[in-house]
Amino acid sequence: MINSVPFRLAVKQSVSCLKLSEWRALLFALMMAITISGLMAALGDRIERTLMRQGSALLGGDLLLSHTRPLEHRYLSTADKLGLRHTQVTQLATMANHAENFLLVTVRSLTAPYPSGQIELDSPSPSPLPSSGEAWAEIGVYERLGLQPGDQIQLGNHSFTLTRIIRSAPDRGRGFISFNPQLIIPEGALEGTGLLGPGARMQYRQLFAGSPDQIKVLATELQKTIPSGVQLTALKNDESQQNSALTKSSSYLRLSALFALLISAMTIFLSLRRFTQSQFKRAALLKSLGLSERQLLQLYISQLAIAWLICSLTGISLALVLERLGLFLLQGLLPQPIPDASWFVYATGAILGGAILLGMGIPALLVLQKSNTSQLLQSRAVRLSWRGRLPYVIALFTLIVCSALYLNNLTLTLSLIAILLIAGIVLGWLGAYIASRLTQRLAPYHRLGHLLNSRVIQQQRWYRVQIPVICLLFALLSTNLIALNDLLGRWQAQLPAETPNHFLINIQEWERAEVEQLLQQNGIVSTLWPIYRGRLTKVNGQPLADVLTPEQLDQPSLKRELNLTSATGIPEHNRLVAGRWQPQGGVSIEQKEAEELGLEIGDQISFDIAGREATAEISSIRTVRWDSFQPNFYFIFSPGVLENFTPSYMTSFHLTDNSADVSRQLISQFPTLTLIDVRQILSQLQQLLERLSLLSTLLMLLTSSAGLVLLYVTLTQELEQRRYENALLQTLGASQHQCRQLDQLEMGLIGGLSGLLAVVITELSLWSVHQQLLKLEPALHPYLWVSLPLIGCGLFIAVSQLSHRQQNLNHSYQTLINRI
Amino acid sequence: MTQTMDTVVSAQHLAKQFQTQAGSLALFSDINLEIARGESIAIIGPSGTGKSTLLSLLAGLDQPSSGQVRLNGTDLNQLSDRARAEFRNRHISFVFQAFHLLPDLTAEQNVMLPLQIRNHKNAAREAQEWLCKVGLEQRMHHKPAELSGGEQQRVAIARSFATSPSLLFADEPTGNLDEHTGEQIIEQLFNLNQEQNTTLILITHDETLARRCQRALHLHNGTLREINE
Ligand SMILES: Nc1ncnc2c1ncn2[C@@H]1O[C@H](COP(=O)(O)OP(=O)(O)OP(=O)(O)O)[C@@H](O)[C@H]1O
Ligand SMILES: [Mg+2]
Repeated sequence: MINSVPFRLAVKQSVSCLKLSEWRALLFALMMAITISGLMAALGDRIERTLMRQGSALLGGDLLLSHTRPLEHRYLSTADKLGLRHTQVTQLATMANHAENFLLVTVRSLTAPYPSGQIELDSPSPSPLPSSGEAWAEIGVYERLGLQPGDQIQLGNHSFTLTRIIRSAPDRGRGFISFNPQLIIPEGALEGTGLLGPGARMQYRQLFAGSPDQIKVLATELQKTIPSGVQLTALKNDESQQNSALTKSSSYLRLSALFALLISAMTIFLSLRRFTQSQFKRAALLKSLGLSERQLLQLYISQLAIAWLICSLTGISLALVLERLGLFLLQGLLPQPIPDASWFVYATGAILGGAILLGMGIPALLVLQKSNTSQLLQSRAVRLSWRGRLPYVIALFTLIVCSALYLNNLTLTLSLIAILLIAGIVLGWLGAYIASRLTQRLAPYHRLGHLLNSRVIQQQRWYRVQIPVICLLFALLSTNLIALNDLLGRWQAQLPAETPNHFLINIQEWERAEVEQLLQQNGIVSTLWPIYRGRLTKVNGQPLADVLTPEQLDQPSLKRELNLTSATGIPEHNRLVAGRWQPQGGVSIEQKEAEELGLEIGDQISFDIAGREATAEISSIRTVRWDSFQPNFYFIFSPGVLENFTPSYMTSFHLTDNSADVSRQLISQFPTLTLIDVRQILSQLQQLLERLSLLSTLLMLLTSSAGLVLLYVTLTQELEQRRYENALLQTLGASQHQCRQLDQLEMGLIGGLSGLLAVVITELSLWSVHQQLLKLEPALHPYLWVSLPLIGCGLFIAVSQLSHRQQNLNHSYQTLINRI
Repeated sequence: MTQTMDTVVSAQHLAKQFQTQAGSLALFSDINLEIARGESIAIIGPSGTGKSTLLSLLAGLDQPSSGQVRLNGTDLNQLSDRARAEFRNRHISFVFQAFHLLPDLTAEQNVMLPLQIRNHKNAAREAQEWLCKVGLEQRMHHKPAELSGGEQQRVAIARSFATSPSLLFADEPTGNLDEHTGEQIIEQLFNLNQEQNTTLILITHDETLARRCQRALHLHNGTLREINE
């Protein structure tokens, strides 16, 4: 019974406290924190799980080998001996064609069903894989080509009947290639299409599944025998996945959500502080009425628990709604189906919110518990002392722990929080300093100038909190929006009008003359480049492992086959920086590549091209403009060197929007060519970025609303002080109008200043983002310099108007004589 | 009643009542008062009788329920908010029991405030002069927290005289000070009052202090009565 007294009181208090703005702010901030962390956890989890596809069912096996050339059969025999299930996949990105409509697709053929995971179809099929002459396709193929099951689809020289719709399939790959709609055709059918010539973008894979022990044995066995260039992917340690663009963007979203979380935590801290202050007298009263310290603590803990419960319910519901919205925005970009998140993920928001509340709340409650009845007898209104560092230390510690849990990365968290703290302190100090210097300078020019200066001096402490928070919030919002927009916009602007927008690859020797002719007939100027696919194997006659450092050996360009070419003339967007252009038996190397591999003019380098070796001496070093949308090469051989190898050819050219006819002619005349429409890829990328920017806008909206509440809370914290100050000014002879004007001047100044500082930070961070990440030429954003300070001004004036209505003179004197 | 040229404050038939949740509370219903220029007046009376309220009515900070207050012949209630504020700034000053200095401003900056409101050109010099007059030349750049109670009240006194008011209202100016300090403050207040020919209206509980004034009035049960020695 005794126990229930504090609880019943707590229920009553939670309701009656609703009229306190700090209690409402606390509830709102807590709900925001729960919503944001819950949303990010759920969305992030689902996106990551979709993208990473770490489940073996999604990968198609527990272990896979992949290579751009056919894999040896003996790996399969090894697996057989160990009793593992396996399959062999041949995959190709190519053009599918129906009634002169073309679509870039990924085609796969399998020797056996996937060792783990199911190909799910719209209707059951009698055989586990398509039978001869049939093809199964994802819904995207049907939709984009306007097809129905039963229709024909042309791949190279061969036509297939579409029989099933693939709902989901393992082994979909990842990254951008996984965005292509996919087709599965029968074993061996790919060979008949004529698409497999040299230069084709092939992927050969062997997938294995079995018990963990068996897999381990196989993995060690394979690691010993596979040649370099063959990639081995085990289920867990797939590092390349962690670097995929989408994983990066999902952690980017997570990071930007962190700021919203920190803002909410700060709001919670400040409103709790104010709440305990407003409850101090009440606590003393309850004590004098016979409540023990313990019960008092129980009372306030129950009240916070009630708040937490309510906020958790509303916050999680809101997170669920927003999650729907987020997934809707990403629809079509993420390979379906998206796995469900576990219920625990949704609860993380509530847990995190609870942790923040505890960390921020307990120290406050302990102060409250110490309230003393004797304070009631004193006429002086007791001001709660928060002088001790303890609450701040505990709050900071809580924040660090929570953020570390949220980001799952301690160093990142610590450095982020350190950066934020330092930036906050510097900004606060700078803002307050500028405000006082500025008003001092400008004082003579306005009737209220000197008063404003006094006010600014008086409010320094408040500015040191307010300015950095709003400034960082603004900077974050604008950096985000602009970085994404710039990425979208300037990228396109950077491309000159005549930039090639089509790549034609996989042109065989015997088709070359006719292709050239066809292009010429259509008035298209282009060069056909011979392509040899090869891998660097020796430097000066020695294997790479002997001459290169481990870091150099880790170069991505050594891990795959490169496109090599030979040419007599230097490509126009290349520039010779050293050596002589193409003497007999020479090869020209790209500058960065040369630097990274430590190669110099005069070095003999050997390549493995389709199993045979070709050697040349480095005779020149070039720079290349990689963004020219021209075929670019690390290595260009002088014509004689590769004489005995068979190349395929590629070219790039510009087609205007109304020359779709040319692509049609090309594909129908040469069905085995692959025509890549860069515009299609760009628009896909652009779509992805647009969706991401929408998603981040959603987050930014959440962040701004958290920021607005914080602004409101900090402004109302100062309300008493401001009331008092205005009352005093009025008795000293200021009119109500003057006081209001003074308030507005001050708010406008602080808002504008926050905006201005935010612009500086935004420009600085955009500068580095542009240089480091987007590789764009950094530029200033003049409109920011006007808009942000104006927005800051308006926002502060509006919120202050909202949070403190002017009092009239009658109350001023009362305010003064009552405040002792 | 005739109004001579030298009447600074003239109150007629002043009434004040408050609407409270418990009903209407009438503090007084018919108070009449004339104060001449340069006079010093003490108002004493038990707590809660409405001394502070009367003061705020006389100073034009609050409106009476009925009746009229004229300061220097002007009815403040007839003036606009701005004109009334300007009048206050020009003619009226206050000294409070709780000093009411802004905590983050220095003594000098606090004294400058009323001068800044009237946009005085040499606010700083004026403030310094007044702080010297009250003996705080060593304390100009100290903040209130670094000053003793008596020193704080002296800053407040400097602030109230800095505008050369014709009327000075003091509401229990020694209430927060010990006896000795209180006496010093009062001494200063009376000296400056004489020097500046200011009219002083002083609320106090202290009978001896009241006796130092030229007139003493007793507010009790809604009536104001002159105390004669
Ligand atoms: N705005 C108001 N609304 C309601 N009641 C008020 C208001 N202002 C003052 N009162 C009441 O009027 C009465 C007189 O208040 P006042 O402050 O003038 O007293 P006082 O004589 O100055 O007392 P003290 O000596 O304690 O300062 C008090 O009972 C007070 O509660
Ligand atoms: Mg009083």
